[in-house]
Amino acid sequence: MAEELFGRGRDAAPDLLPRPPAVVGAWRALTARRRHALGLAMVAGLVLMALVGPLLAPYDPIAQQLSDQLQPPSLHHWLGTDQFGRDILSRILAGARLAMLVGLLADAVALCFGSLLGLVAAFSRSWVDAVVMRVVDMLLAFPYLLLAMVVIAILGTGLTPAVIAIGVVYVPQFARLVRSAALAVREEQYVEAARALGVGRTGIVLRHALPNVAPPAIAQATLLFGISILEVAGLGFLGLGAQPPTPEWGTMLADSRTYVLTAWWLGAFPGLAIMISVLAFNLLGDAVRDAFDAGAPSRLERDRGA
Amino acid sequence: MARYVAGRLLQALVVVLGVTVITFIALHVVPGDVAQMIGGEKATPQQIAEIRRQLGLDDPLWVQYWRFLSSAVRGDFGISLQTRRPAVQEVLTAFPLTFQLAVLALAVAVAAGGWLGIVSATRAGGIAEGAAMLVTMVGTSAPVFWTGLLLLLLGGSVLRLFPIGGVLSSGVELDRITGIPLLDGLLTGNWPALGDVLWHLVLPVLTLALLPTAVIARITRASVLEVLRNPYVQTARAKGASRARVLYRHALPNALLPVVTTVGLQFGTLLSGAILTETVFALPGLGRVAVNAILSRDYPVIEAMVVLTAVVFTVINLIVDLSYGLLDPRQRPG
Amino acid sequence: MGNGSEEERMQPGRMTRRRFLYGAAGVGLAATAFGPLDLLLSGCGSGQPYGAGQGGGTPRAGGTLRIAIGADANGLDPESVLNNNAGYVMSAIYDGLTSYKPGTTEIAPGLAESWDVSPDATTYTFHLRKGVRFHDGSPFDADAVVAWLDRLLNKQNPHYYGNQQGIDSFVDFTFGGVRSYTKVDASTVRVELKAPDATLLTNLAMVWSGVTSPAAVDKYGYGLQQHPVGTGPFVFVEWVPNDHITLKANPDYWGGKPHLDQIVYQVVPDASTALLKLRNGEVDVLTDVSPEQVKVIQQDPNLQLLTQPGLVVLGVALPVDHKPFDDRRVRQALNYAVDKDSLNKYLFAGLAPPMRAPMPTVEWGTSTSLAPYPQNLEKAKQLLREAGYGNGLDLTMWVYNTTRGYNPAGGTRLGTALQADFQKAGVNVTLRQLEWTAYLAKVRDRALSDMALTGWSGDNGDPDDFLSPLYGTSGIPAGNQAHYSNPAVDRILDQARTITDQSKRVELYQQVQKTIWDDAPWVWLNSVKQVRAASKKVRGLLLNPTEMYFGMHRVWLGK
Repeated sequence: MAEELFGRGRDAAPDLLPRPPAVVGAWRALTARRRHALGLAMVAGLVLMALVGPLLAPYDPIAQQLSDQLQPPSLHHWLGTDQFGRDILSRILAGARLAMLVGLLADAVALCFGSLLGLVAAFSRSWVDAVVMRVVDMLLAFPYLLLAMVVIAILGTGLTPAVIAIGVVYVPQFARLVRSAALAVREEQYVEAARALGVGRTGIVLRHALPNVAPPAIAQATLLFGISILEVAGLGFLGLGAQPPTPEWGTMLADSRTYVLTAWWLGAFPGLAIMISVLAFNLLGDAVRDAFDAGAPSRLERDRGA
Repeated sequence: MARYVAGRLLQALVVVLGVTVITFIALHVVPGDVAQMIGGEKATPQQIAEIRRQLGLDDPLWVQYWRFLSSAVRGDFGISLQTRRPAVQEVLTAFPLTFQLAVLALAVAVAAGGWLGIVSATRAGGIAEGAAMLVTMVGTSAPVFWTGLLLLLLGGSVLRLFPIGGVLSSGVELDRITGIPLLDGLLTGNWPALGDVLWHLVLPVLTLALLPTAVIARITRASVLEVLRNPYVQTARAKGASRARVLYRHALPNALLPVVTTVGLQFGTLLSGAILTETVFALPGLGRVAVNAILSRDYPVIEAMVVLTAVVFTVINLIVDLSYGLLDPRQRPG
Repeated sequence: MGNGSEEERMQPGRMTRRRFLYGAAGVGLAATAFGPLDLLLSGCGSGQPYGAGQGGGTPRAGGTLRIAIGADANGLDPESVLNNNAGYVMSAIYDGLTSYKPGTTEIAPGLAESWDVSPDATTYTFHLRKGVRFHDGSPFDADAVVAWLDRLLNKQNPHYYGNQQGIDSFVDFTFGGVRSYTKVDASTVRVELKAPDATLLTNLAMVWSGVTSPAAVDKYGYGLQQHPVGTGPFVFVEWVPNDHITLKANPDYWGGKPHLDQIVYQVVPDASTALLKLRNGEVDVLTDVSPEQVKVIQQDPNLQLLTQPGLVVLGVALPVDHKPFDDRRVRQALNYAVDKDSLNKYLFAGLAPPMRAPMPTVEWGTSTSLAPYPQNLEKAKQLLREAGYGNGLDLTMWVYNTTRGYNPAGGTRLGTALQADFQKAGVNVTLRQLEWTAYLAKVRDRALSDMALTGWSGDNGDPDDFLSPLYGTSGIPAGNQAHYSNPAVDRILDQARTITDQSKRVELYQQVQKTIWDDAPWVWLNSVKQVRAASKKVRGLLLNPTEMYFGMHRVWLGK
């Protein structure tokens, strides 16, 4: 997935201790490169589409109009209609809102549980740490799709279980990330000093670890936003995620299979929507990470055109 | 070194065991009555009670787990609730096909990605770099099940060059020995069937290879660039060594390491992608078994699949870890 | 596999039980709402064959018919498997003592040319067809029939079917009442039952009652599952697991030499691929057609759609032993509240006509003269007022969250549509959704007091197979989820089960259906059709209500 692309495999750790930049610095950093500015713009566009799109949609995304089945793109229906006469553009817009919610929820699950696990591992006794990390290893030993499928076998099919499943899949990644960052903090001298002064473990976690953990976690969460949209769509495609008539992009692609040879527009646009969303968050995630790493460019950044 | 290997083996065992525990517990404390599933809609309450008795479903959970584990190590995961065949057979019949697809895609990705990475690293600017850029962006963000459909449309319908799915054309016979059609074709010397198999594999492999190609291209490019900046390499160039020589003698071997790591990490993603690709091209691999098992709550098959995958993955990770240690002396633990 | 612990762990095969036969196997995922389509051959009631190539022409000899099935068979021993895909293959390999008249569930001679039944319906004397041979050359005669029955009923038989693992079977259902079976002479067998039962003949016609060759059983033992030998129009050639099963014509078939040379059952689990193969000409018949594919098939000039009213019913069970369902007016009001035509159009793609009787229209003996319950909101409200619920009613309805063969739209979607209709009549329904097995546990419980979606599919095509389990006291609470108990109905059902004169049985069933229909223990909904698709070249293919491929010797391929 994309995180390997940017040097962050599922078991990655941050390069250095970054310093959280000031807001102006952040903006400058985020738009430093053309591609990063593009990412920011695309994400902004997607968010806008999700908020406003369904209100502007020309038709009801789940209303059937069977006399208009399988119409190719036209002036009446810019992206054509599907096998039930539903306007595809309206469904794509409704799907955008769902996609944003998917990303948010999956991120929330992965971030919360992953961070919790990571912090616990970093600040506990060594055997707790070892056990937690072994569990994390176990989960990482798996193809993400099978892991998600097992969660769905437990929770049942549907959009919400699929989102939770994908969130669970990325818990190990966050756990590792957070743990590394937290461990680094633990060794710092100012933390030792704080301990000597009697600051409790919780205080240390909250005051020192979190600010250090936040940047890489946020960068990762941004990347994960797009990836979870992609993976939830994959589950929808297999029939294990959102169920018809929910206008989720992956489910729409599944429906389009019967018509792949006769009505190409059914599948072309949902897939395009997914790709654009993932790309947008990849670019933004790259930008965020670069912004936080502004102090020390990583190896991969030195080549131009990156 | 031996101690290290033994330690890793033990850890691997613990990991697999842990997977069985988690899976077992998860599947057995969910809502959903297995006995009712087996009995079917028309079974009477007495018949269902009888099934529960026979399967030992009323025994304490740890007793059931022990039964499950002791059978599992012998390769017995029970009978599929759907097909009534041994669950492990269902998985083992399907797995080789998925494996074949994943390995082929990986090979293509290494070749294509490596080439693309090197070319774009050594010719700054221009088409190669643009192509690499494009492949990277599309490869990492386009859903594999979408590109598969597009390729299917293009290759199967518009150009009509390739079949629209399946393993073999109707009427082509191939004996099954290993379950991997390419191997079976080679082993039986059945060249027409082998050709047919390859022809059916073109589109799925290309689809699945896109993402890993993008990733490998990126990593290779970065690696090569890194190495080319190395003063030692600059020196060699200054001394008059040809670019190609520099490339092949010095740059590549060092660039190889990150690629190997990536390949190891990629396999999980590859298997997941294979499942999605199989669905697009109607290949009877693990994807179909998995989806059907989940939809019909076929617990024996789900358990068999999870455990076997965990074993395969642990083995692969182990191999990658150990070979990593071998390749780079710096990384080897003391 | 096959060791001691395996035996202990799982032997569902020892259980003989009825199993639900799925109408549309394996697809189920994308069951969605469809719209009205041009309708196809409409069902007319029993006795009408439905099939391909009614346009006639002279049968051409030769050719291979390729039939796409949704999953592999899991065995080819008719008494040991209950898998529909196995049934599709076995129906061309085996014959039963009786058979179904083409396209119906009425009984016709099979391997038994004729039979005498004692007046008390306990003794059946079968006069077997002479000169028939199994595919392996061994003779079909009284000895063969006795040996066949012995394998099924005699636990001491070395090849007793019940000793296999992991089987499903109808043997109990069909032969559970058999007391003895004896050879009278070379071509006559007498079977005696413990109690009178008129449904035996229907049960013998099911594909699950095919006669297997005793010589083959001796030779292969339980390997019969992979080496089926019967008397049917086609002979088993090979089975490549998860790929295809090939049969070739039996030139000496007693019903007439088949026109086709071969039949290949191609396993194509993916519905979209199967349709593509049909359109490409890689297969000739599609066994499972999902409703959303219907339009594509209809628009293709090379394809034809085959339909037949299904042997299924669908409805909402109203537990009559709990308020407010104890009042017949309430039950009838609920029936008048639902617009079944609309359900047909929007949920079932026009493929599920509203029910007109408590049994499916294709079932013989079904009533055709009952007053229907069309949507009539005024009447519904009036009935509710009379019953004292003029201010509205708050009810709960249980639904399942998957699709079923008799409900391809799925429990949730159907429930939601019904909820909207009930609302219009002043009845507020809260939907409670359950996972399938949890749902079964809930509704098949004596204590059920709320409405629940329900349905049933017939196995043998006998009216008793619907009426007794669904509306007879003995069916409570498993099939009879409405807990409907009417002694008069029970009496007539018991009586009809023991009379062998079909016209008398029909009379009795007409009476009983009127009573049940008026009492309305269910809200009766729609009955989904059986749908198959074929290339226009395929002629002479008739659908059977039990969904099996019977009569394959009459099928031929035109140009």
